[in-house]
Amino acid sequence: MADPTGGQPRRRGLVVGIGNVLRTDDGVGLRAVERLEADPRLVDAIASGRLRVFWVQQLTPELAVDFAGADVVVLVDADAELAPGVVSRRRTSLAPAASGGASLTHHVDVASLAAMAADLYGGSPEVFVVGVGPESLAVGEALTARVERALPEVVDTVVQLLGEELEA
Amino acid sequence: MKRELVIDPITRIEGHSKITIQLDDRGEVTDAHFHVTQFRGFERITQGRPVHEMPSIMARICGICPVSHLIASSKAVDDIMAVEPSPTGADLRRIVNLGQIVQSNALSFFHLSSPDLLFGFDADPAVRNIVGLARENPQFAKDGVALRKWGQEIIEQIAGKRIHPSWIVPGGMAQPLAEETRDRILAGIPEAIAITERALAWYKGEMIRWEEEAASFGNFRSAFMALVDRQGNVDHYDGWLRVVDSDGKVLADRIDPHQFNDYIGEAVEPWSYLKSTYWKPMGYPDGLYRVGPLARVNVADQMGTPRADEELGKFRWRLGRVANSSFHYHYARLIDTLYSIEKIEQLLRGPDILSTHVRSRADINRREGIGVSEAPRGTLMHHYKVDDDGIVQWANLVIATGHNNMAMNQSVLQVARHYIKGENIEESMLNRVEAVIRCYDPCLSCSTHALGQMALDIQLLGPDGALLDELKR
Repeated sequence: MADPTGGQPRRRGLVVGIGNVLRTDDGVGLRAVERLEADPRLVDAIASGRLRVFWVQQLTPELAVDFAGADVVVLVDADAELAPGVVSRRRTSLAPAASGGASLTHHVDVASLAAMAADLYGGSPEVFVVGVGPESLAVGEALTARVERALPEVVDTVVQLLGEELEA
Repeated sequence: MKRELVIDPITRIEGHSKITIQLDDRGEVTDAHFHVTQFRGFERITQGRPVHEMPSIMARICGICPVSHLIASSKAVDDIMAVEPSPTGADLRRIVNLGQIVQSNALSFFHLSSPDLLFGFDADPAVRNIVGLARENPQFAKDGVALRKWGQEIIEQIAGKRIHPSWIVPGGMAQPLAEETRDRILAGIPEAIAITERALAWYKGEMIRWEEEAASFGNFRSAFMALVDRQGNVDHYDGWLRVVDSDGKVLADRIDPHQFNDYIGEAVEPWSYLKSTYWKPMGYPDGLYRVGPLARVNVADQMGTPRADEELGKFRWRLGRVANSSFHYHYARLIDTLYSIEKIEQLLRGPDILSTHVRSRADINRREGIGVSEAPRGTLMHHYKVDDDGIVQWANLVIATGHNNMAMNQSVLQVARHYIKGENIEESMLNRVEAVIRCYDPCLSCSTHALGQMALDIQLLGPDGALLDELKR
């Protein structure tokens, strides 16, 4: 597959895998990032700096700077509202929650990060979430077989999304 | 009839928890508990693993303070190998640990607690949050981001990966410090100091607004515990444990951290997975003590760096030799941050900091090891036992949030009694109950955070468990 950015430098991408790798399927974000970093379809984009790919255990405020530096942000995370092994992709609502984010725990929610990126740094990325339904979130280092089997679909979904959005 | 108010989970802290508040017929608070509802269980998965893997496993426990676990774990394995890192290796570990302190303190102060401080505890929660902060006071929000980012970059540049550093290893560090890395970190020192001093100046100027909260947010007598160095200065990496009482009287000093089990007990309560540690000489539950930034400034004779010592002098002029209100964790956290930045500079300017001798190598020489350091939230202890082949047989982690567990419970009760009265439970009252927990910045990490799992659920329950009222946000 060709470089999904189409060789056009005007749109920049950011992929962030999220999750705790000691919590079984919550580690799917890291496992996806490991595959994406080595994916031949993304190698050129990563090497040229048009695409950044990294993993975090949770979203924290300084990521607003990274968000602001991208036109398209793709988050890969376990989504407890999905059936085990099911992969979904969706554009996130960037409208602040009614509570303004106060209903979330310590980590910053996606909408708040996008708002900070805009208010503090003038960025306005489109943000997508590629979610994977976890089968287990118990203490453990390996993905369950069902989520492991879903990994190729996760990677393909991210690559396809980048191809569509970075060339848009 | 007794009623029970449940706040589940607490917002803007890590992990899974809830608060229950017992009310009597008149709506008066009779009891309160801070529950940790998620079992950690990380010690269990370490059994059977080679001990040299422990630092990298332990670093994965927490997305906020991986370095803290990495440091304590590496020190425990040092102990099992019976080696000491070289002076340069130890100093590089100190720098990374202090970078961790800076970034974690920045998250706690600027982004988690400052919305309450800036907008007031009674402000509309739709505004009183990180987005409101960015819109109302963008420079303040940017300062917080910049300081946190600087701390993160220290970790990334010296220790490897930002979230799960891999260059801190048993015996020292995997790689020496490059000259350009040192210079790059040093170049950020002036801005980091300027940000922290701006925050301190703002905080001191606003303190009068929070007098009522300061008087009721965990304002009680207790012991305090922290590590100090040979001169009695704050020491986040090494040194001896010191315990002082509410008047500053030293209850115990020069305790070898390897002997902590002789002084600290762990109690289990049926309503929480989080163990409650206590000072053994005073028994349970009388042996309540606090750790973390407030304990560090209360326990030490001085911080040990010029600017931080000047600020400590002002802190004590305002609040006395020992500040007993947990509200002052915020103030102490800023002094702790200032010290950390100054200390990083001192260490980076050391004559041997670029030395290539950063790692000592050895095999398994002891069956048991203990590593103790100061994490952002307080003293962190890792204790491992291995067999002759270095396979982990048993592990125990005494975490800062466990040290503070009894204090957090007492603080919640005090705040609830002060602010919650009668039939009307207002959001601002509940926010203060949560806010007193945030003073301690508890780390219950080890949490999952999968999308769709987090909401604030407040339930009012009758004595038979029936739901009387519920509030979600």
